[in-house]
Amino acid sequence: MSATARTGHPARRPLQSTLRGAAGWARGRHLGSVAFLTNRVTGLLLVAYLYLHLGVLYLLTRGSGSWASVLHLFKNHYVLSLESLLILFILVHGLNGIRLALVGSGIGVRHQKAWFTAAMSASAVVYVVVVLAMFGVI
Amino acid sequence: MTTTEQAPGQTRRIRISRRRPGAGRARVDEFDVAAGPDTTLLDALREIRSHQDRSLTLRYSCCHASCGTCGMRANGREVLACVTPLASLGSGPIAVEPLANARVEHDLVVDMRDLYESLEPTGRPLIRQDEELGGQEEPGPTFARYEDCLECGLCVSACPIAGSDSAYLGPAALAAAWRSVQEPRGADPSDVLAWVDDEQGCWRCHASFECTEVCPSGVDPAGAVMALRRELTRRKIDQITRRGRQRR
Amino acid sequence: MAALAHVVVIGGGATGAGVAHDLALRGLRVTLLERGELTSGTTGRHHGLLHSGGRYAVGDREAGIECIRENQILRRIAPGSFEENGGLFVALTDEDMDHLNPFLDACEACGIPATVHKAETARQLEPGLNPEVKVAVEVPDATVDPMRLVLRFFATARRNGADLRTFTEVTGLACTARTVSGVLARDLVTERDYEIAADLVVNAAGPWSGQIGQMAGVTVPMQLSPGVLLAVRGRFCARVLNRLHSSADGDIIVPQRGLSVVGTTSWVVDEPDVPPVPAGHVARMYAEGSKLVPAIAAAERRAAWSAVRPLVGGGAASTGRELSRTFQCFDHKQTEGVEGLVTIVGGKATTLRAMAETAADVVCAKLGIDAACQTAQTVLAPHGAYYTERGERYDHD
Repeated sequence: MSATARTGHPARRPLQSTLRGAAGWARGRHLGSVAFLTNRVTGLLLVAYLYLHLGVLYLLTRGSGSWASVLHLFKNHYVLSLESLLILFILVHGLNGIRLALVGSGIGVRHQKAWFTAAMSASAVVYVVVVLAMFGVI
Repeated sequence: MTTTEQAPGQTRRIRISRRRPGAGRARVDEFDVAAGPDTTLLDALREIRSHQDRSLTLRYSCCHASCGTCGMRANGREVLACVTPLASLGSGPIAVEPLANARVEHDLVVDMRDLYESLEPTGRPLIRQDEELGGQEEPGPTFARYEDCLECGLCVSACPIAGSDSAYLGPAALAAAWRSVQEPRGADPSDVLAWVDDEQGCWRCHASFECTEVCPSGVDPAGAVMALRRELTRRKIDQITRRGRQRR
Repeated sequence: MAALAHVVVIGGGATGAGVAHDLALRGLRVTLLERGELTSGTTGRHHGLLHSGGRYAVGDREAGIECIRENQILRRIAPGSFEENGGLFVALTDEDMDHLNPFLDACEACGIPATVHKAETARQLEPGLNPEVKVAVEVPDATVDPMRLVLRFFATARRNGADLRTFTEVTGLACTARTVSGVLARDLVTERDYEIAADLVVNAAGPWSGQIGQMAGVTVPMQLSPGVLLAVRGRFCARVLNRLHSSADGDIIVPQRGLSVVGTTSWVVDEPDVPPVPAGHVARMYAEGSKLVPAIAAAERRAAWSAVRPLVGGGAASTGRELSRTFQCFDHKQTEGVEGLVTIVGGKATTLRAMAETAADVVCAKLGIDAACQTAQTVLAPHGAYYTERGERYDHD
């Protein structure tokens, strides 16, 4: 039973363009809103990456020659940095996602800010380790 | 003439976003008001209306965060004007706008109809019957008290989902629904639970918790949404395990 | 000719609400004008006490009797609008104890049920009370949400056809040959001036009644008496707590949701707009309030505000406490020979229905309409209906 069915008429909150409404995503000042916006942004970026990744994989169908040249490109330090960012987004989105799954089922709601801080701290630590590994430091 | 106890110490600039029917975009009017340490935003707005611009329209009534009518945004934050000292709004010009995610009727007055229409199906009464005084040795009588929710709309204004999805029930309605489930008073809470168990109901929330942050009355709508989810999840699991047991 | 009689009511507070509701129920056509939001003038700001009448029983018997009767009626017609926890009149000193017997006698004379509690019982009932309490008298006070109760009257009035126009300021009264024939109004939103013809105008403008009266050249004998109220965070009592003595500053605490409202003071002013919060009044409220409930002294201030009581009576008053808290209805044809205008002023929020009944009786008598008052038996619409049942007033893009 939807909101429409129950009240008998559609909600009349002003229909604004999705873009203007999306501006409301960035208005929140507190940690919960930071988590919310971070998840949205990393989520969108990860989706964009996914398409990019599919595009790259397509190159496999073009034979080992083009694949080898792409792999060579990936050894470039600038590209490595971007890839490390990708790892960061996955960490942030993933760990915050776990927080959301728990909190969103009503578990540990009171500690939601602490969970976010813990998730971001963990992401930061793992990110540093990964970067060091990627650039051959450790 | 201010309503403060102490002599006004400084002047504050208030920039009010004012939209009128049929006028398209809002215009911003600037006013200067004398302010003392205790002057609230509502004091300033009433001063402006009485002595500077009688056409300024705004809602207020109780002046102490009880009626919930003076909700607005000051420097982008949702507040009740009557309990917001100007001193808490920085030291520069103060940008005042009406609440978001509600239709602006004129100036700082928004249409509260959507909020009240969303509250109606929750069946939550105005008075709750569960208050116990602390310090008693044995469980004493429970007392009546008003529900905390002031129906002010600050939570809906702050909610990022309410901004981009006009069909979302919203934090106020969901908090009220949870109250009905907590205190069913003989009624079957399944009705209300079925109503919120919807993609535009309690599952539409994306946990920004802004509603709880801005609530002036300690309602914790975000907590209520999560509690509704927990309750729905628990019932679903019960249902599945019961069916499982029956099949065996 | 009830269906054709058009009454314009000036003032969107408790008085206007009661009058609009009563007249609409009797079948008259009602237009109500309020220059701000409903109850923003003064009604919304009272401390939220549904009087048992105990506060007036000794000094103002008439007001005491009115209160207890209306208290019972309001509980019937507005169920679910009150925290019906009762109230205590608390004696802390020997001086207070001197008031006990006169108080009990007065309550009995007014018909106010009163139960005396020993100190120990009083402390059990209200653990937050000053431990030096000597005696507490329980009376049927209750807490009311000032705005929401009044909105129920408005919502019901609208259901019965009343046209409620907020943000509409009265700029004058149309007068011809000592007869008020209409109201000059300004729509503050469109900034348009227009005239509304009326068979009768009811001046229910509370503190502004005098100003409205002047528009027709009549005098309304009244005094403006503001009082300061303090709301602190924390709910320190379940019941209303009153000090058992003659009315003075800071002698009442009303629990309201998560707050405790401490009131009040009293002085006299000339101007009804934007009353100040004079220096020292808030401190006085803390001091007097903590005599009843010691924890108040350290409680965080949520808000301090002032509201003007429109008191009927023309004599010189120094604090406003000397004037009667009852109400009066003036038919200006009788008082000053001006036809078409009736003023209803004074009283307190608890007696809004009775005030309206009196005014509506006068209105109907003047218009030759035979319609009995039904407000004492009519259950009111819920306050949310005021918002959900509004029509579209302006064209929006």
